[in-house]
Amino acid sequence: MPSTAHDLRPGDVVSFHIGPSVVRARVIEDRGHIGIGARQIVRLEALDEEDFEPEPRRFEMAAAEVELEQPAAK
Amino acid sequence: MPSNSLARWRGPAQADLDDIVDAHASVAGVGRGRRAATAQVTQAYAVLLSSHFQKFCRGLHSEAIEHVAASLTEPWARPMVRLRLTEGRKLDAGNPNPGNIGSDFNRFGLNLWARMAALDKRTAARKAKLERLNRWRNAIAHQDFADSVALDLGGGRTDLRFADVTGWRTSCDQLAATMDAAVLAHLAALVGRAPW
Repeated sequence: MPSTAHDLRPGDVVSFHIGPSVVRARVIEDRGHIGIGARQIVRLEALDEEDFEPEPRRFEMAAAEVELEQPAAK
Repeated sequence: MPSNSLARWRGPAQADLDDIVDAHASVAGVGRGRRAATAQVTQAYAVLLSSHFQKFCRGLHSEAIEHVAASLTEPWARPMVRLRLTEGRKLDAGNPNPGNIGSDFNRFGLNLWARMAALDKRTAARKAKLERLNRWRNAIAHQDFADSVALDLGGGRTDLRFADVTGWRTSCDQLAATMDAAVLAHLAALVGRAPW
């Protein structure tokens, strides 16, 4: 299962798979460690989907189920 | 054992609200300046109460998704389910009014308010108080108190008092416990085991 070594934070760019498709997204909110076993939950905003909707899609994922692609600038 | 969200509601959220109670005690008294300060603290108390109740509701919804996702045997299905259950969620942008809460939890096939009413017959009265709290939250946030019908606190009274918010806080606390129990029962039936 994909995982991140540290907590994700707003601004991090992550990715995850839905079948063969890769979804890239930016962390926009740390929802805290409210998941099973105190797992971190993050709210994400999809990237690279300009052709889909006028507004970016926003949704939640477990931090342990996404890959960190690019940390937020410090 | 309660959900993580209910534990946070009963712990840090109550501590934050108690800070406002302390602030109210320190400014309460007679005199025009103190009355004005008390009114401001009362408005802050109402907004903070609604905000913390929204945080509880969102958290409970997210926890429920965790347990639904964990029950899926195919890993590829988890992100799809998470995405569909949280995309466009009303509690992410809107007040925790009964309509928004009911709409979001209905994504699990749960008629939350009906289930809560079955668990506790006092739910309807508490639900009405939650609706009133959120009308006041909107009025305070927009500083628009013109709708005397929507803001009626009983008998045509529209001057918000600290005791009104204290009563709403009690109702929110009771609703939180009933919501937690209703979601637990629904998830247990859905995934075959108690989530918390």
